[in-house]
Amino acid sequence: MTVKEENKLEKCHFLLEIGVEEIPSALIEGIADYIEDEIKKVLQENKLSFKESIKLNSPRRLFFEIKELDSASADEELILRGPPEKIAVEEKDGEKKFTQAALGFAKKNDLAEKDLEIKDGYVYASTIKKGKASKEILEAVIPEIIKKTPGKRFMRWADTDAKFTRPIEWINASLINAKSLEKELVEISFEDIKSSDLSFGHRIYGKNSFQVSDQKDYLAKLAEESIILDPQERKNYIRKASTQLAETVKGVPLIDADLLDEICGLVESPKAILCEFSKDYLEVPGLVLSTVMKVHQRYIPVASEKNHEELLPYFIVISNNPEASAEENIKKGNEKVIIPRFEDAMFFLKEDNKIKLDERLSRLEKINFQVGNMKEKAFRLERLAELFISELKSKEQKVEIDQGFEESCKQAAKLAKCDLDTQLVFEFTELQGEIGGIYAARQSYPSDVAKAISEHYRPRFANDEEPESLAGKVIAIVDKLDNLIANFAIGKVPKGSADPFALRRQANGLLGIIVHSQLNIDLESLIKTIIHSNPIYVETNNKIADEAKEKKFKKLTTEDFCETTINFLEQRLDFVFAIYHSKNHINKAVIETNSPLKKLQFMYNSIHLLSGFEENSDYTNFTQAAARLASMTASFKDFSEEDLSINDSLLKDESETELKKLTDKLSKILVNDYKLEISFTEKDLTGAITTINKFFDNVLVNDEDAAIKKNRQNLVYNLNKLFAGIADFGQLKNI
Amino acid sequence: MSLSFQEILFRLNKFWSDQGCIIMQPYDTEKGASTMNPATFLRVLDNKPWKMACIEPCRRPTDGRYGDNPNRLQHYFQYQVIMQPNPKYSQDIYIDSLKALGIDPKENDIRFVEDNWESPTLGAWGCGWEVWLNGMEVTQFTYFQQAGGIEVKPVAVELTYGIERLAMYIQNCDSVFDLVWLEDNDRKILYGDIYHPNEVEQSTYNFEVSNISNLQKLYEIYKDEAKSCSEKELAIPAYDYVLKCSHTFNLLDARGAISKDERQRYILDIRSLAEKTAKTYVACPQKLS
Repeated sequence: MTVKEENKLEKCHFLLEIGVEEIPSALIEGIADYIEDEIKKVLQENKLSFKESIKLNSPRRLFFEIKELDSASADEELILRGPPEKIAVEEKDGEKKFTQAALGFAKKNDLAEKDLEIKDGYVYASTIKKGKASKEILEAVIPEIIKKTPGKRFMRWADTDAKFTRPIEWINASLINAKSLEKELVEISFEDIKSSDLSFGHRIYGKNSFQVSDQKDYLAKLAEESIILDPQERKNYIRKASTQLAETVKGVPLIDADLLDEICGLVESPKAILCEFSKDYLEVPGLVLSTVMKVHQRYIPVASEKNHEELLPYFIVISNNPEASAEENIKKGNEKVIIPRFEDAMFFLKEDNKIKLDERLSRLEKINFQVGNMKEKAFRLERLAELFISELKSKEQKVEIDQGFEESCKQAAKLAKCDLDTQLVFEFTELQGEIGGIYAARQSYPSDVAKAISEHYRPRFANDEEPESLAGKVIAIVDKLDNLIANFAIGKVPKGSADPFALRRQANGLLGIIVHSQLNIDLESLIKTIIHSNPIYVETNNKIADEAKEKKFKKLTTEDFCETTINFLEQRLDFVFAIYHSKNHINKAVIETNSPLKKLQFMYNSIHLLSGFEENSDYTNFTQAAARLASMTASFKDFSEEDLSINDSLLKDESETELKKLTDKLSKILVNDYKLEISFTEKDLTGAITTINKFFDNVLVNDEDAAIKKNRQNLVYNLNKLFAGIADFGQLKNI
Repeated sequence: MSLSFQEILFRLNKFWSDQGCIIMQPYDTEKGASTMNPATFLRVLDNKPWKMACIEPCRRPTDGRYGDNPNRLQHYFQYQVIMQPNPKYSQDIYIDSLKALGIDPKENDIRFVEDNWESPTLGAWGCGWEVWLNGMEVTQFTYFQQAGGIEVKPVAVELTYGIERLAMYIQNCDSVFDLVWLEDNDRKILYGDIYHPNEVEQSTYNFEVSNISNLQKLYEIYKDEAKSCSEKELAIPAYDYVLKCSHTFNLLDARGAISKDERQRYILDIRSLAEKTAKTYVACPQKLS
């Protein structure tokens, strides 16, 4: 079958507007993306080309335009092969005639006898497959696309079976001839809606409906009602207008990307209005006030120009009513709404401050945790912090550990969860930790204790800041470790994409802090100590396992716990190191060595050294030599690791003696108790190349004499062990 | 002179009556929200056209503040509208109801902000918005998808007006107790005149006086009654006792007598009663028609 493109086609612009009752702000973009992608996919499948696809939206309308679209798909010439000549043609009265077989083939394909021809022993016919009009294709496919759009909490309405984010109010669809600008309605019907060429303006003060002749006309008519359909433009307006308003009171708007996105999805005719509140409320911590404004009301808080931490008694509301005459009303209304919210916050603050954080410890008993309760967790965190600090102190560190540190760190660990008992955190869960820090400061706890409490949930999301203070870091790490182990205890190990407790993020977070802050610790041993010294994990697990009716619940031993936790963290290393270092092959080779958690700092340093080393001309020679040692070691059969000593009298060749010397020398440099700073250099590695290669060239490891063989195996094994601790060089030899 | 509280109610009744709604009277069992009125919760399961509106007193014992807080009450009113199936352009009809109250949408910022309603105790959920009037939530607007664990089809729209808030806006008043309920020449009756003593006494009862062990017993008794009614296929009385259970649970909660774990148990308990009642109702032959 051959395909031949034919006839030149006309171009047209496809306009589609889906009018919807207010779409949830967070869903607009995702829905628009899906519909655009699906339309493009269908056009591609139908070999319809177009120049450009445009997508604009507001909470009330999803608009798509496909520019310069083929008005129909091209005709295709199809060459069809029929039955073989011998059954398709018979000779009658000296004349060749088509048989029933041939005529049947023609009929089946809607062809006449005259269209048939004989070629190479078969009947052939050519036919034109007519192109399909874009209009027809779009009419069929748009309702299907709408119906299949996926999204959170979609709904039915009235008698519909189909679901969408909110009820669809209208569909406006047309094709406009690119040359003649003639408009043709695209007839789409979806549930109770039939498309038209009408659009509707702003819900409240807009025109009831209007004709749309093309995209420019459409946007102009929307603009008459101050509707900004381009979300990026809306955001620009919001940012600019609120900056200008804030300037009038010597302030800056506190508008983060999330808030901006959300507000942008709440309005189509944005209008910024500056509102004021009483200075008395500034007594409430700024963080709480701005959360109240942002979370409850989607207001933009205003901070002092000079100090962005200091709130001013203003906020900016982005209204959806651009009429100037409405401004005063809207301002007054919004100023009134926020007062009870602030009053509540003041009330909680006053009530909360009546009870010191220390006194809340015993009240944490009421709050359950995965294992035991929060009070137990608080005291456990204190012990874990102590274990962490003693691990920290046992090794050389970059960070300074001063006298008072240990005490404040332990105190902060114990008090870190106390704010869970406060009313303010009950109202604003997202401020946990921060509120604790604020209360600690107001209740005259040492400032480093307050700081550590306030930052111990960090990083709360990918790319969030890590704690600044060492105590904050320590508590952040042990808290996350405890969360991991406690969740594993109750069988909550993340699977696939399901990770409801964000354990992967917490693992990334704690490893990130260790690596980033260059804390030189043996995390593997620390985990083991933590699990061994806190039997509550295993006890909780075994209790659930005993009570579980399903056999599926896995009963774990202390060793299982250590293994699960260590494995889980090891699997996060790829991700963690990728943030600091982009050469993934090196990261991987370094991570895939024995016990990576024992030597995070060493690995971090090794990765940097190796990526520099990669530029060295001897790099490949070294990786190949090291890989040779590794693969030789892997090939040993019945090799015992019990006796690894070298018997000098069995060293036959000079190269063996040299290899032994090299091993002795390197074992002093590539020690296994990992130091803060890396002690080997590129030179130590390149210096080994000749010795290794000479050894393999000169001697046969698998000697007939068993004693010599073992001695040589030991030589290889010992040296390999040193290199294999740095990286799996087998992975690097060919890169 | 702005609209009095009772005038607001009259106007809403008139407006929704004109829309073809039956103006029902409040249901006589305590409930936390007007959705719990059987004229909503059970009726939407008939899967037949149904339009009603009514003023509904609601009780939320934990919200009591002894009448001290200008914005919080343990007993308050919701104005409830149900239209099944939801009419096309329900939002515009709703906006017209605000106009009937003298609120000019062109002079205010009216917005529909996503808020998906869910009642864990009723096994009910829907999609919709909270309606903001200059930043103040004045109405909950929900397309009912499920009630008692059963699909609502055709979909019903539920409008729940926070009537005190709306009135405070209309009368430009800072305390709910200062709302003018009736103005008759020189005589002014305030919301507080009628309901302040109620707030003081009920808050005292809810927080200090109620007897926990009696309430626990009552809860069990109500639960038994709900179950035995359901077994006899009497969904409507069964549902009354589900409401009683729910209110008793709220009273226990106000006394701080429910731990986090127990709360979950109570909720599941009531939910399964509600779902059972809903099933009985759907299956039951003597449905009101």
